[in-house]
Amino acid sequence: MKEPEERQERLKKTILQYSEMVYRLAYALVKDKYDADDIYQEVFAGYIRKNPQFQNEEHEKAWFIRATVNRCKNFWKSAWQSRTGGFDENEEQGASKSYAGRLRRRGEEAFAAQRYAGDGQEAELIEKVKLLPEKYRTIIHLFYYEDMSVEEISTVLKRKPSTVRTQLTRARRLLKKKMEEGGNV
Amino acid sequence: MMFQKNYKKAYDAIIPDNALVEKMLLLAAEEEEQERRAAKSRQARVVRPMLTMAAAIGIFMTIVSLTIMPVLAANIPAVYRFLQGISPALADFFVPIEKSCTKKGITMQVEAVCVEGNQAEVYISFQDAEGAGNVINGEIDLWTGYGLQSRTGCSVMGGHGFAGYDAETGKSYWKVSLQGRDDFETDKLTFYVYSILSSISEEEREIDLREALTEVELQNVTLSGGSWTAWAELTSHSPRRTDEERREDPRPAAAVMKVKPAGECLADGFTVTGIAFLDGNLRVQICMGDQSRAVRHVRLLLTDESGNERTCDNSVMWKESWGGVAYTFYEYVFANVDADAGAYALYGLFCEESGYVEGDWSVSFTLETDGEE
Repeated sequence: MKEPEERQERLKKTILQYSEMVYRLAYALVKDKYDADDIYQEVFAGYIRKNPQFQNEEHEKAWFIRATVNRCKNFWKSAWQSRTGGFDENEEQGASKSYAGRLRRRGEEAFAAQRYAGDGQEAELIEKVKLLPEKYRTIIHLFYYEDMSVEEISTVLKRKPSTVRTQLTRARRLLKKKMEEGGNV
Repeated sequence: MMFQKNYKKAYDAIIPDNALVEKMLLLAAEEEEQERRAAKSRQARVVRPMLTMAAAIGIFMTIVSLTIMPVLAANIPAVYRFLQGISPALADFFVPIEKSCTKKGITMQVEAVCVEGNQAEVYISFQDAEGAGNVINGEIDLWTGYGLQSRTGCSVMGGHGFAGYDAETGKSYWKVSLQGRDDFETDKLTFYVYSILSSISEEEREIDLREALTEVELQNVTLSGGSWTAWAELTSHSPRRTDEERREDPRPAAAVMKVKPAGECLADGFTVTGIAFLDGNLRVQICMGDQSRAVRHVRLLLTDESGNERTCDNSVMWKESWGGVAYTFYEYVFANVDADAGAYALYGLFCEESGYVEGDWSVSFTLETDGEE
């Protein structure tokens, strides 16, 4: 196989391999289908354009997780800035009440209904996790869905293992409280 | 274990649409095709000059004058890829500059510029200089004093926005929009940035609602930010101003809580100056201190007894002077919050951007030549 074709095959294989992981992590962090769509595209467009070389599969997986978390942070930062940026903040609040905002919410509801049709328990669990602060959602997702150890999470997120451990404990406690409040334990 | 099983089951259902995956596969194929064409073109450029050496001498001057003209951003991969990522439609309008200046261990690079009349848009990047510390980690902000200077004068207005962080190269990109009083002369331009804020610290703080007042005196303040019309509607407190007062100061005014004077607030931190339930609304006032050396943001989140979170419905911003320092105040309103309805919890995500670095970076460049060299 020629070099460009090999590269093409490799890109395709990698996109297919990490598509679901990136999308799920993005959704867990930004809590909205449309924002997750945007983050997903940004991560893979960045990957395609940069074409980074990885030492091994672990390195590759860590790169995609880190890229997704960073994109989500940028998203969160810009959303925050527009909320606290003087006159602009009210434009955003106005926009959420606009026709486009209503359409967006309707789309999100349809997405949720389609995904969890017939099983309210999973939908409720996701909703409870969504109530956790962003730093906890990242750790919960990597620990429980991606089966990553505290040490692996600490390396990928560049946080101390002790911080990750504390945040995981706090997240579990907070989640348990929220589940109990919802009568769902 | 049960939680993990349920969590996995729930998230197994979260997958990207097929169309989204297809789109990425298509993008990968297109990128590959572009790469293939670029490789062919590079090959052709090596061969062609040898074949046309004799003819080239005759038209040498023309070629020189053409090649020193600014090439479109699309011809330089690094800039092109970055701009393509932000806005493919805009990429071709920007002229790549890629000139840099290093001071205080930080390199500022003017990446690309688009100048039209008295309007200019500049993409710049900041990066830790080789061998220097780890200051630019994606979380910096431009601070006071940046602009574009040409023979006809300097920019008089400007704004900036974060354009992205490239973890691979360690570059933090910014887009700066500038406006001059007169048209910018493009034969020599100098872009400068005086200072940046290099670190961001965040903290989460509980705000005790038991301290909330139910009666509080109000005062009228002249706003520096916020939507005063919506504020007046939400709070039912609209300051009455005479026509003469409006003529004297056309800036909008709003009625806010008179709780703590600037002199009792922290100049270098956050002070929650007052909380009150008024007319069915919850109001929270926070003094951000002196913002001239550190930018501070607060995001307030109110949680009801079921754990539902909500952000404020409106906010206004104003300044008060004390001891030669301008203190920035924000007052937030959560509409329709009944003080007796149940257990609310309020917490704030406090963020401070500090690490003030004065670098006085500047880069001079030329956008056009007259083609007479």
